[in-house]
Amino acid sequence: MTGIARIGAAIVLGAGAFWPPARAQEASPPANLIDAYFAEFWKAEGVTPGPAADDYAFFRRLTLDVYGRLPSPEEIRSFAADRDPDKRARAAGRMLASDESAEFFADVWLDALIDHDVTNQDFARADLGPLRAWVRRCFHEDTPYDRVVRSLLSDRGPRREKPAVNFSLKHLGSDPLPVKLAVMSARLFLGKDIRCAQCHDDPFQSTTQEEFWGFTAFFRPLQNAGDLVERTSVPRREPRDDFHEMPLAPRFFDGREPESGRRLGEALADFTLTTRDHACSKAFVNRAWKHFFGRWLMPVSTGARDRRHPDLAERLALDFEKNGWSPRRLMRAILESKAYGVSSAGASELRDKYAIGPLKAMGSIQYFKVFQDVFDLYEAHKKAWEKDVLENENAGPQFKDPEVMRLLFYKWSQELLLPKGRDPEETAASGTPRMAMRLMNNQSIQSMVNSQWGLLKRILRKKFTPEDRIEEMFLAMIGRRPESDEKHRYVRYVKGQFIDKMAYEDVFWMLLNSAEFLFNH
Amino acid sequence: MSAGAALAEKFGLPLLAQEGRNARAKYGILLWMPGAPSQLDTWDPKPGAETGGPFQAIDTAVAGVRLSEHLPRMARQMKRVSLIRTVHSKDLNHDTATYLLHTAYRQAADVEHPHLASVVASELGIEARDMPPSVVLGGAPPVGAGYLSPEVAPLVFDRIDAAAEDVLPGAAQSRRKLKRRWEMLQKFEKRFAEQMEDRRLEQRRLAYQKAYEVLTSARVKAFNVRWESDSVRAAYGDTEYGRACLMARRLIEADVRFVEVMYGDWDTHRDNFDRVKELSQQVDRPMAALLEDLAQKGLLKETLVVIMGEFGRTPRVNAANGRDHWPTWSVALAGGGIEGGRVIGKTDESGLTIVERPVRVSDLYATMYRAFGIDPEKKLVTSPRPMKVVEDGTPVQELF
Repeated sequence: MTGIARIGAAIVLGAGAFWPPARAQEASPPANLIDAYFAEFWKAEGVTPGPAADDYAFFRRLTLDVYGRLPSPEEIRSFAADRDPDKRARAAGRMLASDESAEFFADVWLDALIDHDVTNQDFARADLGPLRAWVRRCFHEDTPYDRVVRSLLSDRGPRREKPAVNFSLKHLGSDPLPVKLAVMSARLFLGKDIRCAQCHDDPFQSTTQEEFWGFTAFFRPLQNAGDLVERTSVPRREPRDDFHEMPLAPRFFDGREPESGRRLGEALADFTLTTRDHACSKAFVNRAWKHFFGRWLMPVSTGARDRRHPDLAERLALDFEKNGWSPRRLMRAILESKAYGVSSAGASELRDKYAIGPLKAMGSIQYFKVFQDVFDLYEAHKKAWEKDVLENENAGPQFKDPEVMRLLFYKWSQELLLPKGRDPEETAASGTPRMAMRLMNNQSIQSMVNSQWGLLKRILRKKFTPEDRIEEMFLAMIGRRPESDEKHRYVRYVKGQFIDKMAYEDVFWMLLNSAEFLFNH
Repeated sequence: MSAGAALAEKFGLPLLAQEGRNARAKYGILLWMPGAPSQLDTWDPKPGAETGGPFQAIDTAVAGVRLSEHLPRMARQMKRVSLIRTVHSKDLNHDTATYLLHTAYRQAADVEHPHLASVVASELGIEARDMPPSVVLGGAPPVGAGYLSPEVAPLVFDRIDAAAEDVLPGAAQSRRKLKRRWEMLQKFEKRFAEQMEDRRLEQRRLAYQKAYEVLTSARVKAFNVRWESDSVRAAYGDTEYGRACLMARRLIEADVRFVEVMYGDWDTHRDNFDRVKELSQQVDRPMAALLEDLAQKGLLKETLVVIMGEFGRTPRVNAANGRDHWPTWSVALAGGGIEGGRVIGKTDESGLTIVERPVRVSDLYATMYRAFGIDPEKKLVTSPRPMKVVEDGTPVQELF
């Protein structure tokens, strides 16, 4: 089968399998694939997997991973009370199909697509609102992922009607060469880190400098002319020493070259989706895995040395392609796997072997969403947005897009919560003294650790006895009920204080700064 | 013979005898001028030249050394200050040049180099466990600890006044309240830490511990310039930059190894002269007060002070009355065993070419590290690949 024919088949398969909701049940139970792999692996390693996480731990993990927020006490109670033995798989399926998860995954994906960085300039040269709406729709409709990649690589035209072009527009930026766009495309769609090869052959990633510039040449005709335009001829440039540029014709990493007359974007999408090693599907599997387990399944960049599972990545990738590149089906497989569902208590060697559950720092989007809930930041941001953007005649129309509003809110939350100059991929949970000072002592944040504000205010209004209030705080913040000694300790503490509101603030501060709150476990 | 030895011989400085004779820097202050100040309108004036612009040059405390008329207080400090007027590099992009001038290395995709402050803290050791090893005020530097241990990462405050918000006690949380909550947190954390044994949790615990030690340290009031007398504060000037420079001195006194203060937008593509005049007037008093104050307290001999930006600006004035990016510029150094009153290197009468003693960024860095007694040739790490303190740099011996 030629590459193009195979691609066609994949699209037909994907499109055909797109609508029927029962697709997941038609194929073999997906979780088995991961379970089968680890059963073998654990046996070979001589380890026994831990017990399943209890309902509270599992539900907090799932909610953070699929909605990007903490579960409410009501949701927790109702999940814990559910007697259905199949409730975990059911909850996972229901949540994955919801608007809320589409919204969250769109933000996580968008964050990756824009390389965790939005500047005001980006809003000027790209329309990020339509891009976000489109990514959200893709998750909501479970659009086959190969189609998504094809759009991102080959769509051309107006930025509002062809929202995927905004990915290219953002990364074309003002650079004379589309290096950033090439680097991002290789990273996201091929799982390849080619940055080093811009200037020299990279033996670790087995990418040569020639390959780098051959790949980059696919993007050379692109132009940000308001809309994304693919020119038919590329103006020749004098190679400049500081770019280490090699003038080359487009050539894919495996040596394939586009047929003459074919649009380069189309050719690039074909090549990307039909590599011999299934690089594109593997890269997606890997990214999904990282999201849910906090670790990559296979190495992504130079110098990564920890243990990986390329065989499992391969099996999952093949299964993913065979089943119409359905992101939702893949995520279900992960969420229903034993490795995802086991308790995360235990020693780190066991965690390295997936014999106990994941322990991960909150991702930046989760972090912002959680704090937006805890401190009512969403409402505060919204007021600011209405005043500073909606009512501001000087603010460009693209800023008034509600999709963009959400992006601005993340940016504003980031300014409050993360000290500047930090890698946005890491958040508080991985911990630096700087971050700890901000959370423990920043006076703006401390003024919100207040019985008259946010989550704490809502809890104190809803529950009245110290026992109920402490329990509600535990559920709302760390997703579990207090142990009896804990309950005793904090109830006694609250009762012993002359002004009990201040005592609740102390407990709230304590939970807020705890590892149990800041990690997903 | 090494280039350094050759130069030392040329200038009649016996290299070996010279080494270790002078005082060594134990602390460092970098006054960073983001955007690249115009050298011709500050440290290397060319009045009367076609490229010289409207500023006059004034005499300084050192005969024959002249500065822009808008740096009168610094002019009086020149016995303590030496200038290198011929630092040069090819990198004229703000981001990558800022990286270069903070690390002595070109930015690379596979490795992050450490900030100068982190190298100093790592090599000289962290003096005070209850204070950060180094502090950056007024901006976000392009790097942190890089491949060195995270514990030597600078504590960064993007706004000068943000230091107070994050570090000092305030109306929303007193020290007593913080201590009470901290005790509760310690007790609460035990259960989870025992259940989940993990390196990242340990890392986080250490970060919190360090943060708490700083927050509750008696020395944290170094971040609060209101402890200074009115006359001292007046000497620095009651401006954002004045407070930052004063805070820098207080932090050094509190055994913080290195302080960087970032100030101003010196990227004057348009309207160069009005803006440089205004900026010079803003920084002149605080910079001079800092040198005077350090000297009077006996701290200058052990504190290296460096004033610089990431590159220079074109001698030719553009159509917007601005100056664009240029590969040669001036750097001012004082204290920490650096002899004052010297001028290294010379540009021609229009500032267009270097006529004497070019100094590379690696040489500048070798000079700074030499002041700290750090061997520029030393390998800091061997993994991911061997990394020297400075690659191919020779200290400017004439400054010692």
